[in-house]
Amino acid sequence: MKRREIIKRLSLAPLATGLLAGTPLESLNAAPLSAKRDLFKELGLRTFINAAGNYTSMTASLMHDDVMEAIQSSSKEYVMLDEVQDKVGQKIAALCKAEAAIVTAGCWSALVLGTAGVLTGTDSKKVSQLPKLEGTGMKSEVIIQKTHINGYHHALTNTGVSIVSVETIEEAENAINEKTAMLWFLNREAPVGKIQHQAWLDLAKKYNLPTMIDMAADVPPVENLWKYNIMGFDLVCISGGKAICGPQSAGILMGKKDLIAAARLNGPPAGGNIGRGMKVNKEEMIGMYVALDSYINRDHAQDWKIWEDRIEVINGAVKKVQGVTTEVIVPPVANHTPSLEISWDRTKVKVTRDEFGKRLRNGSPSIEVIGWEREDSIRITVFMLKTGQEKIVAKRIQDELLKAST
Amino acid sequence: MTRRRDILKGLMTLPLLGVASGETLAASDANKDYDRDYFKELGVRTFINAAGTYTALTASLPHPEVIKAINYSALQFVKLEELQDRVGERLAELLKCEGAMVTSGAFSAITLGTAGVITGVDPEKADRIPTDMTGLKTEVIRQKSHRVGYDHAIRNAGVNIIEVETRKELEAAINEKTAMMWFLNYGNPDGKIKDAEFVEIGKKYKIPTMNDCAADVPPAENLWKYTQMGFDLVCFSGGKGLRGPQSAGLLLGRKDLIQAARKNAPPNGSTVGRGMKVNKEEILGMLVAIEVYLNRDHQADWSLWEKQIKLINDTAVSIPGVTTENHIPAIANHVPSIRLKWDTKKVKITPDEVREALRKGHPSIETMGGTESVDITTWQMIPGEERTVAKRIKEILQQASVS
Repeated sequence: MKRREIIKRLSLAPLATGLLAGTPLESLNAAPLSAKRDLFKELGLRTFINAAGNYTSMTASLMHDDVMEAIQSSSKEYVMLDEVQDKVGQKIAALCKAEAAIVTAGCWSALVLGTAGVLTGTDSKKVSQLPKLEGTGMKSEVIIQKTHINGYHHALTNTGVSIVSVETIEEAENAINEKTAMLWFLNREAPVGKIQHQAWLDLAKKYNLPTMIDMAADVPPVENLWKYNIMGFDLVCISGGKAICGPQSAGILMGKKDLIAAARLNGPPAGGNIGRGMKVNKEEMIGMYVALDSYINRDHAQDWKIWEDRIEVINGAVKKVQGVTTEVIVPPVANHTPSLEISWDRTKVKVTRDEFGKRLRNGSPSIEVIGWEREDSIRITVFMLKTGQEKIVAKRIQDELLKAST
Repeated sequence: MTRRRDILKGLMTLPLLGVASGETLAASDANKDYDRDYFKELGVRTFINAAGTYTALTASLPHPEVIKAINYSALQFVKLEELQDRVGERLAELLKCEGAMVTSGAFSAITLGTAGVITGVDPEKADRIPTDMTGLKTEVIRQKSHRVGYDHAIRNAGVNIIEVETRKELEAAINEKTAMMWFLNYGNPDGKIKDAEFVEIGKKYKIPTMNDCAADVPPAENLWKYTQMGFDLVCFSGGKGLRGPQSAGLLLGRKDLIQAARKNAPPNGSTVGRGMKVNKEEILGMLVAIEVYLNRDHQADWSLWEKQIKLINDTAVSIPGVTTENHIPAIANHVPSIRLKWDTKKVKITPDEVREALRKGHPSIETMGGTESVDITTWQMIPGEERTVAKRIKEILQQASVS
């Protein structure tokens, strides 16, 4: 009875307000169904509804039509790669209130190239020596707060530097020496570090050291695109293929003009350097610029409202199931969008988290959720859903919860 | 209401047919008008590529089928690892090797392959290179004559290069620190140890061998020749003769080594290769590029290039004092090519000035060459552009001619 009632209500529910408005990922209406080849099917690949979020392993985000159009149109002509990087960089820098910018092969690549630039400057001999720093006269240490060391620091060590870990300002001051190349900050971990942005910048200024901030997944809010440039970080790194919905293999390095120029010597099309393997093509550069421009000009308040509405559609459907509790969670930094944690009482809903994730994955349509955080609980995000998919997600989760309840 | 019902209907079919909606974008009509001309907006000069597959010149134009595949794959989420698995299997089958992966260019293939040789599938080791090489092999041997800037791709994995010239030196250099032996395919004629012998030595000492074939198709057969010869790993650029995405490449070879290389690549984090991102569009685009390339009529391509070169040749030599050298590089960019030279007493202009005049003309044309000649290939032109190139060259040389 209960199940039927809920399903009935779902099918009668008005569509989310966003459906006819300009919502993200709306390539849905655009296309006739006349593909000659279904390559994913040919290869036996599962496609899925992404209710998890911007994970590289899940291909992160889908590009909008304007980005695809930009990629397609720019594939028709030859240009000088550096000229595209120059011009696109100028546009991006202006949009993000930075002195200069380049498109990189992801945020990680931005970290590598930026660090390399700090080490080498525009000295081509030094460029050719990375990642072996010994005996080169280059600086070889990067200072990081202990709480900010979580795997991404490997991008820095790829250039050959060692990481010096500190917890307090005093420790940081003691750690600074003639080998210190840079002070690095991981925005996502700011809330757990003892030293905050401004204090980190003040320290760097006192010792005349460059600073870099990694804010890979930290838009929204859109303001973050310029916040850290204005605050005074010398280099800012961001992923292009997450919430901005640029090419998934692209990112942005922005900051001081001289450091960006130095970073470029360490990446393609220049060869014989640390970054030549981090290739970005002209299509990705143009696509990145178009995605960023579109993203900045979006109605972000409306996006947020749409996400809240989608969360409510799903929440409304699943919380009716006995033994299920839900909570709307907005992560403070990184993937800062409304998400829904769905938890269940195992005595009433008899399924493990892993099994539940598997059922959603193996169902039709396949759905990916965040199923690795807490026991007897999954979390979903809605910002990567295509318009209307929230209804499918709501129904599938509800169905599976009910199925496990009987 | 009608609209809403239509949309609802669309929604219901989405999970099954959603992927099929790739076709609007996939309509790869060369004459299609786009809403915006980004290069024009940005003030970026476009040009006829009479030079060849140079990264700085954006190398090649991705084949329309590749763009179709890119548009198609942009519409759905898939697991990146599953995609590499399936595409790798398909590529291995098409290219007659054990394993394959799509990389962020040939340079990336070299780094990832080297990293895989060093770390195997151990994530702890992948996490340590290139800075902490404790207990890992640290030397890669290569012939002195194979020294190029691409060395750096190997060194990025944390190893040192050991240079040798003869077989004797090579065998003497092999020790417990030797990770790999690296071979530069286009250096084959210059090295004292040729490809097959190099492989044989590798096998004798059980040292993995890698061959860098970045620009070495055509001929198409090279795509399997070197894995079949016994090289454990072979690297190709995807955005040159193959006309895949310009930022893509291929690592081919032994299955276990490809698996190991993948442990050092995205989506795995904390690795030497995480910055070498390839997205799903590039991975699928690369597969389709290979399919299209293998199905081409290579003889017809060749004869077209010959005719194009002949047209440019005949036009150029009609000017008194101009001579040409038609040639085909033996390895790498192995296509009909032409060098234009002239008697500067009869044609008063330098090759640099000719290149600059071609660049600044309309349409802009990029060529190669040094102080002695203007060098041209036609294989990356849009067919028909050779007439424009011939005409412009004639105009410029004629203008500089002493009458």
